[in-house]
Amino acid sequence: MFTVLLDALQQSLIFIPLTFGIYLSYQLLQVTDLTPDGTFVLGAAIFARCLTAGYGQMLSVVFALLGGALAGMGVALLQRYAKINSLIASILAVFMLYSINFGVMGRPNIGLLNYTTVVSHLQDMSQGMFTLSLFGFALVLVGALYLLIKSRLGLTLRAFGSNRNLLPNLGINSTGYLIIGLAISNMLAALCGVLTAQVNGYADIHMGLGMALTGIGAVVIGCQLVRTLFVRSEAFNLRADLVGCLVGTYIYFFMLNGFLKLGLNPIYLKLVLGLLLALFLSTANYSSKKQNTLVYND
Amino acid sequence: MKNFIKLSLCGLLSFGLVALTACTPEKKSHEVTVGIVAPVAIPAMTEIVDGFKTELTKLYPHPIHFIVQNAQGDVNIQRSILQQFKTNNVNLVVPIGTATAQMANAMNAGQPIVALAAEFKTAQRDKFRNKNITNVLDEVDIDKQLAFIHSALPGLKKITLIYSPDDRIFTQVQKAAAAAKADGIQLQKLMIQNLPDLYTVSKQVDKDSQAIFILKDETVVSGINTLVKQAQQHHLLLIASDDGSVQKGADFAVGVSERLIGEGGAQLAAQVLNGTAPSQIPVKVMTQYHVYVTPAYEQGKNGLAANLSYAHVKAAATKFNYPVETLPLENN
Repeated sequence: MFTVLLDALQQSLIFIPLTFGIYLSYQLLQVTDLTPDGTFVLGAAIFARCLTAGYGQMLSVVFALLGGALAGMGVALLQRYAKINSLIASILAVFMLYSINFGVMGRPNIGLLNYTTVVSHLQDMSQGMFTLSLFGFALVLVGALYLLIKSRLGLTLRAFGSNRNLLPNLGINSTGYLIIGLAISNMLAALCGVLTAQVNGYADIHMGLGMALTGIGAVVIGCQLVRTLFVRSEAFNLRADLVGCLVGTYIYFFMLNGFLKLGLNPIYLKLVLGLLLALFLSTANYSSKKQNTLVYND
Repeated sequence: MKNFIKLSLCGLLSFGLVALTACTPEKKSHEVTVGIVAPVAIPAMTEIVDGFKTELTKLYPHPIHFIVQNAQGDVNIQRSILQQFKTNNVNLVVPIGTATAQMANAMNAGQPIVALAAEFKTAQRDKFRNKNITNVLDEVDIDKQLAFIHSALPGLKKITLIYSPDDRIFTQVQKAAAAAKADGIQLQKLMIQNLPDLYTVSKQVDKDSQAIFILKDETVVSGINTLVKQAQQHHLLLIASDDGSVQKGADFAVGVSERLIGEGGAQLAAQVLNGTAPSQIPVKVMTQYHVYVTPAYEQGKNGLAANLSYAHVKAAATKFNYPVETLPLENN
């Protein structure tokens, strides 16, 4: 039992930067951006290529993050100047990033088993130490995100998401904020790619498949659950949302590991996961509606 | 509040169920647990697993408990499976494929690993950070494969190679281009990014091409029926690199038997279970090639030119000392 909880925790902590990235674009900016499917791989690809080319770990991580940010900026420009719908723009970006990722790696898979990185070193030390370090890293990330969203920049990003006309009416260039928002979001996806490449021991051209959708699922489910059960309000609550992202990601990986442990055939894993998450969501919704009715009755 | 209680109960129930099954039965003395993880569900994987299980059961005198898991092409599922093998302390981890083996090696530092169909040579493997791995290298030597095709079908002047961007395939394609040039064969290369591309790409085969050639490429092999139809329509020879493709309609294949890969892996696994460290066991390279043909090709019912007939292939197989096997078509 404990091992399932620990395994799920470890996996969700590796995934958390991507969930936060999705939270920024999907919840805060209100933009459906699937680009993380590509930027996740881009981060891993740049990191692996730079590391194997002899650049240090730090520099490789910095290049990978810059790559992710640039891709995010590109998508924002596609949306604004080419006037392409956000979803379509991100699909196009994923399409193009496939070739870019291939170009960066020069081949479909780069193995990192010969290299000792900070993450692989922690992984080899002990599971407890590794999980603890990931937990610390996630806390730093939560803190940074909290400060960012509470800052003036964060407030403007929220304003952009809440009302598309507000910033132009105030004479503020909204495109700039879209670019910044998507750059940070995709930078976080690239960071997740960097972490995953180190944990898995390779970067692969196909490793990003379905990542954005998993992230969106985690954000929607986690935020909805936490808001309904604990906050009981649809109003913006950053603390609840950040906890929601953590909870949503953890629920996904806990179920994944739990069902595998129960011996469920992986063919049916996604169907059962989907059904159970739908049950969770609908229960939370009904609970929320009932509470609202009670408030009116009072 | 009631719903919250319901939710909590749901959660507790899920936890309980997991906890219940987490209580693994006590192992009998000498009994070992072997965890096998395949990245996708394709017939080739089943053949490898069957070969491995049957051979290891023969070679290892004590009871073996096999756990076979399939990741269904999902990296998160694959990681969860490997993580569970680690926490359950299985005695031996057996990943199939290079990427799965890389992940297993990165994640499971303490557990011995015997990787099947993984592209690590001994020198390469020895440089790994974690030395807990040995493997069966099943890479078909593309030079030998093309030498065989050239010898069997000297009338073959142009061939179309359809491939996907899988790591080992990519390397083989580069080698194939060089080998074809040396043999005086013109090579048209067509890459697909994913399976839906296969139909479109198959329409791009040059008119003067005489054959379609595919490697042991999971993505392309999954859509082999598209290529079989295309080859039949244009009277092209379809040459594959695995027995499964022949059972689906490719005219012939030169390659390594999937079952033998599993059996080779079992021989390594038996050594590991008997106490030899994986790093002390050299990588097993599959060198025995087989030629697989369809009954239709054998009987000359494909409407192919005489200089591409089975008789030539049979003669070359005798010359190269490759056993020839006729495989019936699968009902699909």
